[in-house]
Amino acid sequence: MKIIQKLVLGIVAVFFVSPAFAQRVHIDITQGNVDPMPVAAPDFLGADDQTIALGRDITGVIMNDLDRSGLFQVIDQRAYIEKPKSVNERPRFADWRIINAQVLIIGEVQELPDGRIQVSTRIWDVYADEQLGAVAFKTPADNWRRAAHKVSDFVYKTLTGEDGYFDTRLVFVHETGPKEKKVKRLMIMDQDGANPIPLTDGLNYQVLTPRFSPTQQQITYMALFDNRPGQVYLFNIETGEQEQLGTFRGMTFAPRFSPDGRQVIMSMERSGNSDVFIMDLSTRRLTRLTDNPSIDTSPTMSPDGRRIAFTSDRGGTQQIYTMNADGSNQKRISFGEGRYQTPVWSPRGDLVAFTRQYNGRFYIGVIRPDGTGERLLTESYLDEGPTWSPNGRVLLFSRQTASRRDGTGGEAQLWSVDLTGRNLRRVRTPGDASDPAWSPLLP
Amino acid sequence: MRFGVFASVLLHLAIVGAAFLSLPSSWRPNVTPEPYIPLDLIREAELDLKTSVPAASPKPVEEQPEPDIPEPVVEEQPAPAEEAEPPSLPESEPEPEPEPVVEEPEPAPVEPEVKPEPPKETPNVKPKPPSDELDLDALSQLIDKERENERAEAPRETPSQTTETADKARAAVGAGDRLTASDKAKMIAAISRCWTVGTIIGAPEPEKLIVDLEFELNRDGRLASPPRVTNELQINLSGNRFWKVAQREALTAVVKCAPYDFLPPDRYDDWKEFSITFRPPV
Repeated sequence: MKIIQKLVLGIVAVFFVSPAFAQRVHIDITQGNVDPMPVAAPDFLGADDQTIALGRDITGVIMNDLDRSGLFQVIDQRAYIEKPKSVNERPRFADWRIINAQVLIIGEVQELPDGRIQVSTRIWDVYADEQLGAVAFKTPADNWRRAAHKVSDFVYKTLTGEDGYFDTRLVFVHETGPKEKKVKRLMIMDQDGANPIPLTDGLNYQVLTPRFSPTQQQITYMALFDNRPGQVYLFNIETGEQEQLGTFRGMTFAPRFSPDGRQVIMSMERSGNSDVFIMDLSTRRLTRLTDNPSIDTSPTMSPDGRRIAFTSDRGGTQQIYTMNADGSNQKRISFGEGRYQTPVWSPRGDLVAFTRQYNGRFYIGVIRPDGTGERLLTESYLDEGPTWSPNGRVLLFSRQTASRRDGTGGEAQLWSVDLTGRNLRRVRTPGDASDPAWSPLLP
Repeated sequence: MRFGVFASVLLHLAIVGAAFLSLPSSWRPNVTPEPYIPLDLIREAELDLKTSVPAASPKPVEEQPEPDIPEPVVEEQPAPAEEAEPPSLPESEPEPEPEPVVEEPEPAPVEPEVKPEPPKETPNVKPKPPSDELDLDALSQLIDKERENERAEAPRETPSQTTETADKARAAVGAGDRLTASDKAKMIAAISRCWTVGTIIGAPEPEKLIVDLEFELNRDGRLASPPRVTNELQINLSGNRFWKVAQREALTAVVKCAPYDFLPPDRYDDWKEFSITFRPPV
């Protein structure tokens, strides 16, 4: 009986086997939460009144930087439960989890015996209960803003993997006066709008399209005169010295530095035709790169220095072309309707930003250097002149509102947007501003 | 030959008997038992208590015949007393309540006592609603007491509890070796909500930053152990710091949203192990 039972059972079991173990459930997550990451940043600690006040100021600058990036959202300090006592102490993570903070930044300001201050920070992962990074900066006490920006950059890099852009400055054309007689001068300020300083007061010419050198505190721009063609100038920010790039018969304009800062690419106009040229700053030798009866202008170099993008209307409308740095292999990469202008190669090398004009509207967009993946990020009455942050994640551009018949409108402002098209926001400037240029990360 | 027949019959019987005993148990398919949906019979008055909508307005009308019909009044009074009608339920509520309870076995001698009381009360009732000087706090306190007394008398579940039980009991019928589509969808929704992608989508080629995770859950939905990254070696070898950020965000997403207590505990074997692939959107 037992044997028969077992035999029968055995035969049956072969056909009626059900899985004895649970299978691992597999799921694909393809959508996420694009809301900014909640971050907690209690005031930086200090030992005496002065360092406590500095700590509060520094935290304010960091919070502002992180919030404005659009990637982080600093939780209001009034919601915090734990009060950190030391930057070296392990926080009570449960207190921070309750308020939904994903990351915690704790810092301290100490006075050093030589009169400088030391700003130290630790970044904690609240859900993994571990430290993500720690850094300390030493700087003179009145340079605390730059220390705060450097902490923001460190936080940004730890949390995104990308270098930050907070310890940078912006140069732009500041406009004052009535619409018919606008006075334009060059101004420089921190990227968060602090410390605006005029640069070209007292110059007898107007300044257009300023561009930063990637390696030195130098700007190149086009100077506009009343009685002769505009020329490209170099301007030293620290000393205030200006010099003309060279004496040319025709107009030179749209200058940009090469990534190593040793050359300037620009357009030069001769007998009504514009072409792209490159000039070596040490030898001052000019080399022609395009030779075409069409208007070739607005050159921009890739971060590896091997290719140049520019606009040309040789195909009938203004479109974007790329070529090798020696002028060979020129080919068109944009094919959309309307006009493409002011191409700028991203410092990350993966995208070229541009202004597009179509059907009476202006757009800021990006396109890959091979011509694929064109995306329009903004649209308005007049958006133009994009400039990249040093990490290639954020674009700054000029936006002008339409002039209304009653005389209002027509204001020019600076706006920023990130490369995914999110976080469009206005950049605070003293008065009207246009033609922005973003400096590299300050050393 | 006789022996042969006998033996043959015996063997046949033996085989049939063995099959009869063993086959049914091995052929029975692995079906999960029918879900048990608990039913709770409630009185209409209790239904009114459970729903959030206050009782219907006819209640004040019912109170008018109170002095005329003593006996029905005795029984009906507790009912209007339960409903939330502050203006029509003056402080006299507690008074009639103990009386019916005590006096029901002796309705006759009680009636004359009950009669004068409702008429006494109604004059109290009538002037009260018109006057705006109602002490609503006292009224609400009384009403709450009524409700609490009710609850103390007969503990019953709140509506949300009954619906939750119904949800939990309503498991899928049939072969229970796979997680239902709705449970999977709930899991995907929960993790997607907690996955911060803002820091990843700006990276170069975010669609390549794929992270594979594995983890196990306890019966209450909590993580049995920290989740493991199965392609960690690949991520480390690549040296791509954006990929490491994506890895950290994926781990945080799973930890942040625990415990996953919406999964049916009676089908725990179906969902105790998970493997998740995070694919950043472009």
